Amino acid sequence: MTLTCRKVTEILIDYVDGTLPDEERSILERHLCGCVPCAIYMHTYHETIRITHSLPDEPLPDEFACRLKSMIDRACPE
Amino acid sequence: MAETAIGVLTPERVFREHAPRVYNLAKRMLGNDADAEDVTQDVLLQVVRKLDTFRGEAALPTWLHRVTVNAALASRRKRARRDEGRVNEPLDGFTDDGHHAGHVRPWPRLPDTLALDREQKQQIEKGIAALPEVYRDVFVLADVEQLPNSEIAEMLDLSVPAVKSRLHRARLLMRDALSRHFEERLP
Repeated sequence: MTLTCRKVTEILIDYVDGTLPDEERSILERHLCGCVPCAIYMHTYHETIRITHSLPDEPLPDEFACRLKSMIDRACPE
Repeated sequence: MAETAIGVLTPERVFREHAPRVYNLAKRMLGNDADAEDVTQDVLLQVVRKLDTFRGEAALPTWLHRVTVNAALASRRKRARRDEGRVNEPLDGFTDDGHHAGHVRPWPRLPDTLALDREQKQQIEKGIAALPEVYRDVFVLADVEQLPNSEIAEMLDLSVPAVKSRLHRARLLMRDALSRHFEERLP
């Protein structure tokens, strides 16, 4: 059995999360060894996941932070 | 006030420690500041008014995720914004016999998320904002917030396979969007 590049792309998510059956995983890994575009595609797919994880939160805009704090103070007076 | 293992959960602490998370999640889902501010305000006021009912701080992040997602979805429904054009389909980039239609170019070596520079972070945020809503919600919850697919399925009223399918499509679109930026940086 062989895989096309398109099929490789379709099953990357299962490969990455470890749910691809063993036989398909071996076939995919063989394909990746012999296909530079797919190997690069796989690497950049992985990188997309990695650099998006834990994307830091930006602070609230100053004006909104003041407005929100006032609302909370009004809603919960000491 | 609710007593927790590490102290008293006050409105001040909720504001300081949780408002940015709520705001960023809403902004990433909704793609604009004004709606994100409305959602943050609604969620924070709900939380501080119910602080007495919280039994433990551990429950708060989970509850905040759920309430924020619901508020963001409601905000979107209220706006009934359906102005999305056709999205580039990532799986269009293949020939009829299944090969890559164009060059697939590598990216430069990228640092950890926390060490990404401002421009790189902006590119990621821009890519997220450009995702169609159905993919964006799942992507933000799975890959940014790192919630399990089963929890996302429950929040969005989807099946787990549907979450996975949308997540994969979102990652392919994000990869394409980031490629347009990072490939240009190669010498």
